[in-house]
Amino acid sequence: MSGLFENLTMATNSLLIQRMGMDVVGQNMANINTPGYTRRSLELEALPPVDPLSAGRGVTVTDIRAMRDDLVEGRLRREQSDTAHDAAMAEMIAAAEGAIGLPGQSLDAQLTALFDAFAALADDPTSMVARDTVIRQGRELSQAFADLSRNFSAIQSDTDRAVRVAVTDVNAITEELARLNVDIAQSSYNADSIRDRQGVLLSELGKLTSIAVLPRADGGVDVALPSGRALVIGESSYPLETTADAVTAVRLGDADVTADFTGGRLGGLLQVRDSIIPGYTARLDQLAYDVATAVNALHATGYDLDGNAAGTFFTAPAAVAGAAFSLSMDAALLADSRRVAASATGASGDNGIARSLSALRDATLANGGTRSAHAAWSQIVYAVGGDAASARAAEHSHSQIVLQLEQMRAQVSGVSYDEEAANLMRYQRAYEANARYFTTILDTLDALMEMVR
Amino acid sequence: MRVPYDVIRDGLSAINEAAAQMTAAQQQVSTGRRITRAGDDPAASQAAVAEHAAIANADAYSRTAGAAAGRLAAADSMLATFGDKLAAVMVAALSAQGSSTTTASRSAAADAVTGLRDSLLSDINTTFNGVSLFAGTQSGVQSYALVGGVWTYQGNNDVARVEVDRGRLVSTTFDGQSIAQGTDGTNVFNVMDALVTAINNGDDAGITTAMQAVERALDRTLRAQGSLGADQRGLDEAGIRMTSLRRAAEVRRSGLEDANMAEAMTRLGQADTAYRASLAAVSTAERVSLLDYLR
Repeated sequence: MSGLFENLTMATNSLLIQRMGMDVVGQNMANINTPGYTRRSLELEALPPVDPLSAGRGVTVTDIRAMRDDLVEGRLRREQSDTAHDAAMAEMIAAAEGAIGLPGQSLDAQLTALFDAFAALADDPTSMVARDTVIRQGRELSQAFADLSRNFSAIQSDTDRAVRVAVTDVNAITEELARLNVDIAQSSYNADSIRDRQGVLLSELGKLTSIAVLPRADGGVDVALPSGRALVIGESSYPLETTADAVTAVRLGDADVTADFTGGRLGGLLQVRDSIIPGYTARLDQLAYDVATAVNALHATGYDLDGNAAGTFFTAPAAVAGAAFSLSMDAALLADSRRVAASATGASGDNGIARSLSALRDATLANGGTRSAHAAWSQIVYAVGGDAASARAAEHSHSQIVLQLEQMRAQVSGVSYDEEAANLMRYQRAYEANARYFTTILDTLDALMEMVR
Repeated sequence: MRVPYDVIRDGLSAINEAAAQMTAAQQQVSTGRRITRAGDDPAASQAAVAEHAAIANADAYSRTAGAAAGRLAAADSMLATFGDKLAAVMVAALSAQGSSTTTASRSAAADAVTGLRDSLLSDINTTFNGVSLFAGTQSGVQSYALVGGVWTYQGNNDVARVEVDRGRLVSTTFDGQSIAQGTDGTNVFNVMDALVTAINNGDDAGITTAMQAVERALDRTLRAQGSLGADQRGLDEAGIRMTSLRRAAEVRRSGLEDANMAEAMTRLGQADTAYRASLAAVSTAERVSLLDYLR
């Protein structure tokens, strides 16, 4: 059976523990807005009696536990990675979407204007106004192709810069993760705080690229790319490097690991830079090449206003690649609109070539002779619009999953005002009760001492 | 189950979602457009490019038809006058034929024929916007001019055609020689000069020969007028067809690109309600906690 002094010790201990409970509540409330903070919970255990006539020795703290669900954290990281991947794609493709403009107000309008100008020339093949209009529209179409090609290149460059920034961010995070691994291994009391920071960093890293996280026995983590190449092992981090090429390659040690980044923001950026935008540019180049080749082929068979054999209308593109960017009017034609070929016979009033050039608007001159110029352009519009819509839809879908997972995470790790208020009241009441118990024991001791006097 | 409420995570995302819907609806109402970027509806954007092209195509054909109509009307007017004057030549020649004619009447008839010849030359040298209508595809020349004392065709035997509908061509210049000469050995203007000589000389056989040539010229003129009339009817038909095609393409384009205003206004109203509701819900959720009741 315990004595009154043991009762006093038990009450004192209990008072300390209830105050510790209020400490935990205070810590939780203080960090309610701290990113990555996981709710702490005071784990109590009753101390067993030491003899059969004792009720027990009070209470002890077994742990201040961080409420964390590694399974949910892992799923959240994967979904955040997918969301960041789609968000990066949506962001960059939106720029391409802006560049292609709206139907009837973009490159298609310039194509229409050129074919209209040839039709007006066919109506009046000797008109210098009609000839000047043909030259102007040809120049504006060339400019429209070049501007669009330049816009696509600018998006590619912007994406490349974003890749460099993302790689820098990855390196900063992996370096800090390695440092945290050291801190966790050396820490005896604040590992949970360090692991909160570790969770935030892993989440940020997951947004930048897909990663494989391998927990270590001491609470630290090793991190690798999905291909297995290590970014962090214990206290060592392995920084990525970017090359100074026109198109940045990412290297890890001696290896080119650019292709390893398929997820996260980096994966999205690289997909836009290396696949999607080059795809748009290639289609645009093909269209520019096809239009220039078809117009040139017809124009060169005609005769100018003075009955001389005509040359090409556009400067003949050397190759498909780069055709849009370099498309330009023939210099001699630009200097003298009399050189525009309208006649098929050499007679100045003949309009055979102008009529045929105007009819190119319906001709299947593009994509290997399967599409009209407008249809080929509409395919580019569909490709850009479809990619943008898909990326936005995927981002929205993944962000909804992230929201659900964050809510699931909050169910385990989140701090609730109501719960903390209830706990605060609970510890306060327990503290008051133990204080009362303490004074009651003191009063009992006083009564005992009075008996002795 | 623990359900901790986070105003940023739960409240703000709901507000943002509602705000995004309201912005989209507001944009549709203010611009009147359903598609403000290709990604709004990629398939409709692709189809809209084709509809814009179809509208532009119809407009181009209509402009060409309008330009051609002016030329054809001028040519038709000229051919009608040309035919009338050839008939007048025949009347004048007939009056100078026979034994009852006098020197004075023959001289008057010869003067009339000479005047008609000059007038016919003026007709066939008609220009439209500076281009000879009856010189084939030769520009910058008169159809007929006096070369070495002989009336000579200056043009060529081609004609300029324009497309007023897909595959439908109409001529906008004409081969003057095929009207004034055809398969005859010489043109009607030289024939009239010969006629004047025959009238002055009282050469009835010569007058008859000339009259036959003039009659063939009249026949060719009437045939050219008929052909031109067919082209004019073709222009009218093409115009009606282009108007119809354009209207149909415009309806399709509008269906693809333009906002249904009634629907857009309804959506805007719904989005506004949703936005207000999300603000109210977040405000209510944030207003109370157990802390308010603890003393």
